[in-house]
This record gives sequence, C-alpha cells and structure tokens, in this order.
Amino acid sequence: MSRSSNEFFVGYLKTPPKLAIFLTVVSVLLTGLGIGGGFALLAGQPDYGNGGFKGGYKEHLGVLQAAPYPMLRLPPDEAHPDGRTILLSNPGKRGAQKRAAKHDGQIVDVGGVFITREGTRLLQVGGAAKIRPAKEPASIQDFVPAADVPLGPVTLRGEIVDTKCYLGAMLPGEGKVHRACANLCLMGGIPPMLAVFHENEAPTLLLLTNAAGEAFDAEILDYVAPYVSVTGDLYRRGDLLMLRTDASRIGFI
Amino acid sequence: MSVQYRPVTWTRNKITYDLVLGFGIAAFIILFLRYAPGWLESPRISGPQLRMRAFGTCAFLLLTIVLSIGPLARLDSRFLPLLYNRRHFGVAIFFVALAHAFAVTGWYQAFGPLDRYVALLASSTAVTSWQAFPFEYLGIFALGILFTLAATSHDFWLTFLGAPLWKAIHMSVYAAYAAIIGHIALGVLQAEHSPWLLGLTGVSVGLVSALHIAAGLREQEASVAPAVSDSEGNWVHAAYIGDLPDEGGVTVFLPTGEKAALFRYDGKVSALSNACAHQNGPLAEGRIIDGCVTCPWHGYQYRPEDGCSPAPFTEKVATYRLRRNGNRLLIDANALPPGTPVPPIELEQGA
Ligand code: FES
Repeated sequence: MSRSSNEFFVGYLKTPPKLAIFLTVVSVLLTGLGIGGGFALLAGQPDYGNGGFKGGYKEHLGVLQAAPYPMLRLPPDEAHPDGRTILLSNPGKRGAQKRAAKHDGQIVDVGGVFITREGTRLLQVGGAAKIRPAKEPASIQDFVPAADVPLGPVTLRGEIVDTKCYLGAMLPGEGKVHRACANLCLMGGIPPMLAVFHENEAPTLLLLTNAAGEAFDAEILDYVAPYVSVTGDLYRRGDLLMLRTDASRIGFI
Repeated sequence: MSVQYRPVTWTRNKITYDLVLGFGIAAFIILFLRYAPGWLESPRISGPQLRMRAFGTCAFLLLTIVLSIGPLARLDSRFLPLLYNRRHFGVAIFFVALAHAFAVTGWYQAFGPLDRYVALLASSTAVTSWQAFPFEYLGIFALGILFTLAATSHDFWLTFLGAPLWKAIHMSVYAAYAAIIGHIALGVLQAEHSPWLLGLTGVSVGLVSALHIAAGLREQEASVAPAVSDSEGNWVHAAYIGDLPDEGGVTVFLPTGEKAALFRYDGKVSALSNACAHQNGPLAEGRIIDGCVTCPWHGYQYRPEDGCSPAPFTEKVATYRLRRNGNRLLIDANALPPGTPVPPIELEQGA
C-alpha cells in the first residue's frame, strides 16, 4: 500500500487536504449516484390509472340486495337496458354488510361517493342518507330486479383484486406490494373481483363468489394479487358480471 | 480512546460525516417526494405509497453504499475515512427503514378489520407460495436486524459483549441485506416489471458481491506463511526485512487463522495482533504516529514494544515474539497475552 504519511487519516485529527478533496468528491458522487439511482428505479413504473373518488356525495334510489355482497339494483333505462347494479362498501377496509342486512330486498335511498375507474364503480356508503328506507319509493314501486342470467362455464386469466382499492381508493391499489392491504379489505367485507386485462381496452371486472353464489370465505385470500387462471360459471346480474367458482378452480399462472 | 462512556464523543470529522450523511438522506427524500410523481408515468400515486417508496428506496441505496464501504477501504485505503463512523451510517439506515415501515403500516394495514400490527402478520400468510409469499416478513426480519445493530452500536456494547461477539452480531447486516433483496424480489419486482427496477437491484447485488470478492482475493494473495521451525514455539516465516515499509505495517497471516501486524519504526521491528482492541480495526493498515501504532479506523494507539495504549488509556492488544533469520523475520504464531512486552528486533543501519 503506498501512501505518504501526511495522507493518513486519523479520526480525531484534521483530515489531510488531498484526502479531504478525495472524500468530498466521493461524497458528492455517492449522493448524486444515490439520488440518480433512486429516480432511475422509478423509470418505467407503470401507469396506475386515474381511478379515485369522483362526483362527490349523491343519493341513489333502488332495491337493496345483501347477498352475495351488498349491492343496489336500479331499474333499466335507455342507457342501461339491463338496469344497473352498484356494489356498496363502508368507509375504510370494511364492507357494508351490517348496514345492508337490515334492508335486504327493500327499496332504499343509498347515499355516498363513487369510486370509479374506467367505467366501473363502487359506492362508498356514507353522508346523510347512508342506507335508509326510501323517502319517495313511488317511482320504482313495481321494479322487481331480474334474476341472475347464466352465461355458461368460462376460464379467465387475470388478477384477483379488492374492488375498492383497485378502483382507486389507493393508487396503485393492485399488485403484489398491495397484497396484504387487499386481503385486509376482503377480510373486512369488500367484494373481491377478478380483473381481466385486455390489450387496448379497459379491463373487464367480474364479481367473484363461491360455487353456490355466496360470499367467498378466507380460502380466496391465498390467490389475491398474483396472476391467476380462474374457471367457473359466468352469470350476469343487471349490468354486473359475476363468476361462481371455488379455490380448487383457481391457480397461479 | 474513551475512559468513560458518553452517548457520542464528537469530533470535527464525525460532525462533518454526519452532516454529509444527513444532507444526502434529506436531499434524497425531499427530491423524491417533490419530483418523483412528475417523473412517474402515473403522477397520481397515493401520498403514503409515494412515501413508502421514498423511504424504502433510500434505505436500500444506503445499505448498498454502507456494505460497499468495507471492501472499498480494504482495496484502497483512501476510503478508510468513510468507514470511520460507519456506525452512525447504520443507525441512519435503521431510521429510514423504520420510516418506510411506518408509512406501510399506516396505510396498507390501517383502517381495516384488524389491529395494524396483527394485520402485518396475519393479512398475507401464504409462506409456501412463491407468487403470493408474504414478502413483508422479510422486511420485518431485516428491520429487526437493523434495530439490533443500531441499538448495540455504542462502544458500551462493544466492551460489554466483547469485540468478537460484537463483530459477529454486526455481521448479520449481510443477512439483513439478503432479506431485503428477497423483500424487493418477492414484492415490488413481482408487482412491476420495469427493467430499471430489476436492473438496478441487480447492480446493487453485483456491486456488493464483486467488491467483497475482490477484497477477499486481495487478502488471499498474501497467503498463510509457511512454517520453518517448531522448536520452543511455532515459528513461521513473517516477512523479508527488505519488504518492510518504512513506517507502515505488514499483515502476517498465521497458521492459527489469526493475523499479526508487523511494524518497522526507528530501525526496530515489533509485532502486534492485527485486531484493534476497539473494534477489530486492521492495525497493519495503520501507521506509526508519535511512536505509536495508530489504528486506521478511529485512531486508537498502541506502543509497538508491548501493545499497550499510552497513559491515560488502558487498551491492550496481544504481542508476538520475533526472531531474525538472515534476511528474514520469523514470528511465533502463538500470541502472548495482551500487553506483554517483547524486545523488538534491532535492524542495522540501511537494512
Ligand atoms: S477499531 Fe476503532 S480505533 Fe481501531
């Protein structure tokens, strides 16, 4: 090792000037490389979409259904020949099951804010109305929500997400990093959906239920986030696609 | 060389070191929080998720740097000052990593049906699955190690536990690094398929491994000295007199697995243990200052004749017996108890 004795560093002595210059250069370099490296790590990060809370608080009149997950059925109109089916949740990582149970099958007013991403929506219940018996039910007095329409067996590939975060409650609200959060949402009662991605259009979202068409239990948690293939029977309720399946028919790709 | 324990014994160099470190971390976090969203394709990343990335990325880069400093200093002594005060670096990494953990649990594990710390362990548990592996566990493990190292970084623990145990505990930083690589690979690398993310994680692993291998090879070149005699002691070849630098040390690799530091000074030669009593700093890479062997790491000093620190200090290192055999020196591989005086070998003028 070659160095002249005045280049030798001792912690409690003054640093020799040549060494001090070297160290300054190294410090600046390391800081620069660190910051540059940090930004480079971000390069090529994907687009997380523009989902989020949109449109502010509104109240909606419809028929409430508590199973498999709380949802509000709206009668058909010109733009929606099949009627509309709006999934509901509570604030935070909690489903609206408790509130919905009291009103299953009733005509209700539901107040809340939409979380919307690429045309798919979920209503976070809250505000003045929350869920209450409708004040003016007359206009939909004779609306009877249509039964589920079977569309046959399918095998689809995609990602199992918790509907709320995926639609924009969190950005990004999908993927492996977000997996623990998604599972907590599902444990809390937020409906699980399968997001099937397409080349040039918005993903298709399907509500997942067990084979009997009821809410999924904890077995689904192992399959949240990684890419999976799901085989099941497809149904349509209003404008909502639903896939009945069970854990034995879900597999990692 | 402290005769009493203070939280930190400040010196000008330590203050400079910490200022540079603090400035670098602050600059990184501020620039990241301020400009990363605009730089991203998706500027609408949620605030807490941006903070997770800022702190997580920062901690990872800091760990890469701190693990590179050791081998860099072994390869080029000009990096030694970066090693000095490395403990403050480690403590800083712990706090940045802790900020990352708080950002995560305050968002992903919050507002849910479970307590957030229960949720951290219970929400994702598929340990047998590669795709769904709870990478959070690896992060918790690494944070635990960083905490242990930060908590035991003070000299008190060094003395209390003894240098070898302390050093062994602090070697677990490599386990923390490995866990963090796993945390990244099974976490964000599975979520986002950016070649940059993968490439730069690879660069970190490559850099840390390459530097360690290079430094290791360098030490192996100076291979174990061949034994030449074993009557009354375990005498082995130490060095040729002509190879001894004027006022520096030479590392001798002994058959016992230990290392001795050979020093030439004032026309004399003495041998001490290579391991500084403070933190096992390599004394052979130090210098003679004011007649004392001075450790390159924090400047502890020892008299070459007996391995004792000059008064009022009380540190001692082991000494070795030397014997001259023509143009070379032999060393008794059996170390003498720390502080044992050994008469130095006197060299003739011009040797
Ligand atoms: S290791 Fe700290 S002075 Fe030697």
